[in-house]
Amino acid sequence: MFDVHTLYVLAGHLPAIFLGLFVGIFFGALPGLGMIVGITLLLPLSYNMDAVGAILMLLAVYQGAEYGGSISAIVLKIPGTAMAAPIMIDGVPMAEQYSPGKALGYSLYGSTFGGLFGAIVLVLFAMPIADLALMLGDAEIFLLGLLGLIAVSGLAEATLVKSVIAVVLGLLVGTIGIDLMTGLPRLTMGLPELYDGPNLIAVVVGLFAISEVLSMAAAQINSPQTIDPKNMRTNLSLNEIKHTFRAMLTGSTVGVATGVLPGVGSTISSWIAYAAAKKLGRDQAMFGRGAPEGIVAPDAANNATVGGALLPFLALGIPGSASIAIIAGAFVIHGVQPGPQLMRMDPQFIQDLFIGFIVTTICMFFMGRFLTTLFARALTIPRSILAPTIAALSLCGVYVSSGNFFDLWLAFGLGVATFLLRGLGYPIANFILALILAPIIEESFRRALTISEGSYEIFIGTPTALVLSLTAAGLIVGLTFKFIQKTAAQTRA
Amino acid sequence: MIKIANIIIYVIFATLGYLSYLSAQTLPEGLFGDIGAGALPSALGIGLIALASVGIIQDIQRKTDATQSFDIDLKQWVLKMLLIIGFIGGWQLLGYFFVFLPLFLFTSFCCFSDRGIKSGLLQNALVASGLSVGAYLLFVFTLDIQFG
Repeated sequence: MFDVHTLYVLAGHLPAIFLGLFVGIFFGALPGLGMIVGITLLLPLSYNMDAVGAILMLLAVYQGAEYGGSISAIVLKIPGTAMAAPIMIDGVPMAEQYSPGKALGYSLYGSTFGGLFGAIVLVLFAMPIADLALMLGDAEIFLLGLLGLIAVSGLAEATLVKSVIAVVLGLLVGTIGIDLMTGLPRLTMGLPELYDGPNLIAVVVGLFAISEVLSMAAAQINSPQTIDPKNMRTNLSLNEIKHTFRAMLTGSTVGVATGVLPGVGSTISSWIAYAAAKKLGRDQAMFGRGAPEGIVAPDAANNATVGGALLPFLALGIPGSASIAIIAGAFVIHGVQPGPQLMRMDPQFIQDLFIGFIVTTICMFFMGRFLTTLFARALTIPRSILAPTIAALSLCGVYVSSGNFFDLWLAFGLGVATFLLRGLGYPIANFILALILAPIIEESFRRALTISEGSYEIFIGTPTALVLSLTAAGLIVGLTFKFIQKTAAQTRA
Repeated sequence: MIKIANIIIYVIFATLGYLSYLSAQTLPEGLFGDIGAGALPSALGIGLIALASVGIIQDIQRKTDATQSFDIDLKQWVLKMLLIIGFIGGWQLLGYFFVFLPLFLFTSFCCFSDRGIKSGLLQNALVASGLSVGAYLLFVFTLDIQFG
């Protein structure tokens, strides 16, 4: 698997990987910001890179942010990301009893193990799944995309109506531009800037960076944080690592399994991993009092989720989470269409990506090992400096991507709208996922109908399509039933 | 307050759905089994109207107010918006990106500092200049991108 070409390519991409990791750990560590803002800021830079380097850089942000979230959870007792919340249960007591470095050491080893586990699963299973995917027709691809959207709608914490509205809006915005099958412009309002659809980078910057900057301004979250940089050594003995091996394995398995499912993501996986590690733990009474297994299991799950989430994306071409959807944007920008055809037609690209993903995880370990104190210090940067810098850099990025002021105003407008909608509880991740899935879903649906000459029987015509249709129908019925029950209960209250 | 904001947003979405539907109706129907370019936007427009209607009914029927809070510092929020508008607008109308960038950063740092506008002027000026030089080195010097 390791050939000279891959090593040569990877050596050239190491700066991009380190930049991605640095940005990922940095933004992951800052409470309230997180990986999507990090990915958003680096996405425009990827324009000037080749596809492998750009994608590895963004994956490095994803990996790094999963670890970064633990730093503030352990050092500040504020989880940097939602998925780092369970790490606090044992991370904080351990930091108080021993040292923050010891707890961060467990976190780092757990993250690295999870990342490598996810990468190995990806390497082993991506090709067989892609081979199976080659047997899928347009009807099945449409149904898989639809299933992803239904799952995301049902799993969001928002009310079902708002969750589905976010999906419908995403799909609607995804249809803006020239229709690929007829060549006719749709919903463009006569604006030539929208003929290719809204600039993805402008949309992502508006949704995640500008809205976050406005949130910071509105919430006045400028409270200065202080940290004690002492005792930040993250080294562990071999015995300590061996003692937590079972918990790391449990967390990683949970992480990969939940990562594969659309819409589930790291937040849920880290809680499930914590519960599983506690159930399987040798000394359950220690959980909540600084048990190492309580730190490594959720951390391993978080990082294993990345490999798990990449599996359906690379093998089937269907992103299952907002972060993967934005990374999908980098594929689109570079003209790479993920899916079974890519796996078959460009194995060198896939090989570079897989090896790069493993190297990214190893680099994350060394970066965490030697720079954790620096990242902990980053937590003291005032928000009054961070917010304008994020706004300026992200707007620069939008301009770099198109050289067009229309896109800057689009990003700003979307940022203001997103700020208001987030305040009212609309899940923005649903919007971006639907936006990325819109062309896949529409084209496969229309192609399937063209092949069947307008007969909808094609969507139940094969055993796979039938199973997928029944699952989708079952999910819709289940969600509707749950919605009616909840509405009735609210009306009675 | 939240209830009213929710209903206003639902009305906006319903209008958006209606406009999408109308716009999609101008597109020709598909041939040979294809549903046509306007089918999906039409369906989504109708879906948006239906969902917004359900949302409005749900919100009207809800006896207690929504639990979400929308407690914002309006002054800071408007100020931030105006600064961003000024930054983009000034850059678009006059050019000179590397004049507007440090100006935007410096003004923002001063306005949002919890120590007040006048404190740390030199520090803010240095950070704003440093970041602008960094942006110049990255975008213009390294990536050869012209900002006008």
